[in-house]
Amino acid sequence: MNHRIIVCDDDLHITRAVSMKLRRAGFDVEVCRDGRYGLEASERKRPDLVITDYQMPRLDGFGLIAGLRELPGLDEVPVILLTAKGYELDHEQIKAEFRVTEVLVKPFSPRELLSLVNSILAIEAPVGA
Amino acid sequence: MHRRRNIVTAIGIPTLVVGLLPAACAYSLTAEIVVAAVCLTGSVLTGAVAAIVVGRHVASAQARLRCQDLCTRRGAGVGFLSGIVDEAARIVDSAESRAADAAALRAQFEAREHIQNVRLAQLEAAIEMLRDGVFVLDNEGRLQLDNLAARQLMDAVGAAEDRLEQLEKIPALPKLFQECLRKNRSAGRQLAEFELRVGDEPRTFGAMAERMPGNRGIVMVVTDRTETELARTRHAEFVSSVSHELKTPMASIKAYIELLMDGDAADAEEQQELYGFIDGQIDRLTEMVNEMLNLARIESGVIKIQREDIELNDTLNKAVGVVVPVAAEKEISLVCELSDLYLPLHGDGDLFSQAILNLLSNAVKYTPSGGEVRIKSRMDDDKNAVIEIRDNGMGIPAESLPHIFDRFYRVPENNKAASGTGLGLAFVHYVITDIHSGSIAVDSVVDQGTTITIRVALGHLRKQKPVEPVALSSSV
Repeated sequence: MNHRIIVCDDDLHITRAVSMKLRRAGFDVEVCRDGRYGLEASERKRPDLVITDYQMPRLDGFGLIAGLRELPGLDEVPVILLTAKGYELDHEQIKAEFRVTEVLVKPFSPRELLSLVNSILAIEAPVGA
Repeated sequence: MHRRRNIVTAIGIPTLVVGLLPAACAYSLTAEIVVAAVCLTGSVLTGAVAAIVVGRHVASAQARLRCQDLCTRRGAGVGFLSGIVDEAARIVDSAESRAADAAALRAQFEAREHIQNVRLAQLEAAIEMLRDGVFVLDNEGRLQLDNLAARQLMDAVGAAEDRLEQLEKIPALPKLFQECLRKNRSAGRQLAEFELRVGDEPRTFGAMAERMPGNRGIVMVVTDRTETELARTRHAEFVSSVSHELKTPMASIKAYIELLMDGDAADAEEQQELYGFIDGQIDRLTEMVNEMLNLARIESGVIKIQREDIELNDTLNKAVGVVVPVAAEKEISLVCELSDLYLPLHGDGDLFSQAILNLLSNAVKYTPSGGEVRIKSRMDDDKNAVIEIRDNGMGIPAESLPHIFDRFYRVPENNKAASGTGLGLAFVHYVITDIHSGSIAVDSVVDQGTTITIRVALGHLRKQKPVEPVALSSSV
């Protein structure tokens, strides 16, 4: 069965690009446009990985992660945080405090993202990716 | 030496003569001879005493010399007397000319003192007027001088027995004073910072103290840094939000380009779609950079305004056209209720359109999916047009309303909801009020929505139009 990945970002181009890349690699991707939708989608069906932006309306990235950590069975779900805020945020502190696996600064490379996803889910890199 | 001998001679001879008087009486000389002798002796004695007294008081080498000169003139008594008179006259002349010099000196001194008093008054007035608080303390910490700003600062801490007690209520200042006292002048200025509530507002102050030359005490100057700090913070936030704004379209471009390079597009059609997105994002980047440059140009006064006769609704429609796809993407309904009337405006169509676009974009940005944005235009009496942009979105908190047109200001609650430069409304305000002499008002309730109302004078310059031209400011 394919791994389920939830991608949250209010920037529709980012969600489009990321979902295209991940679907091509064989993942089952659900796209959400803010943290609240992301939390609902996670509750509906447990994801194997969540990729979320930081700045979003209604519920931001931190809010989503905090919400996930409180849901039964979801507190261990790996999270990749996307953000345009580079040096303004303390990445190590975020990773420790929110148990975020990695922080990717925008603009990011979809190739790198895929490689990261693969390593987190401990998948051998498929030929040609 | 000479003087003493001559004095002795001058006194001795008459004394001898007087001493001989009893002898003369004894030898029955005539009374007249005795009287003449006494008179002669008296005058010689007086002259000698006068010479001595004057000589002693006019302690100049010249007078002494003359006296000596006089004393050595052992000529006839008459020559001696006229010499004394001459000398007395010379002394009086000299005293008079010295008195004249003294008077001139006094006049000079008074003139200089007057100039210095004027200068002092000017300096005191200047110090009194300074925005910074100035305190001068002696080495014992006693307040010698303060200006208005200093007194206002002290009054801010409340009433006290005296000024010094007030000063002590701002702990940073006595501490700074002590610091300065401990060190000598070569240590230079000592600095401190502190915060103080002035009225209702917390304000930030910087203080510096320095020893006066000649160990005359210590000067302290206190500057209100609140505005500077605020400007610095806002600027830092602006830089941060600008870089964020630029990164967003860059991120899309980067992502799509990589997909295309890796052949991730499903087919040629999807490829074209991605190229289109990239193109659009570059346009967005360009627009953003232009917005920033525009505002920078406005700040430095270099912006070129091109006024012409335009129709207001055309300008509004242009802006609406740009927003339609953005609104559609977010599923926000965009309602246009523009007037049927021809609304003549003499202004810069591009700038006006850009301003309206900013307002419409904001309305869409801060309204959630499914909401509504409405734009209306109408003629209000026959001199002015009114434009209204209304949304049912997030709204603006009351405490933010007075600041929304400030450069770089962003409503704090919005920071997480959407990105922005804080320049859009500053630009709008400038275009509407400064360039088009109009007015702009905002009404808003949190979670209910916002209404922006613009009033602008109508009229074309060309005489053909029936509407009376309204005197607008001429082209820059």
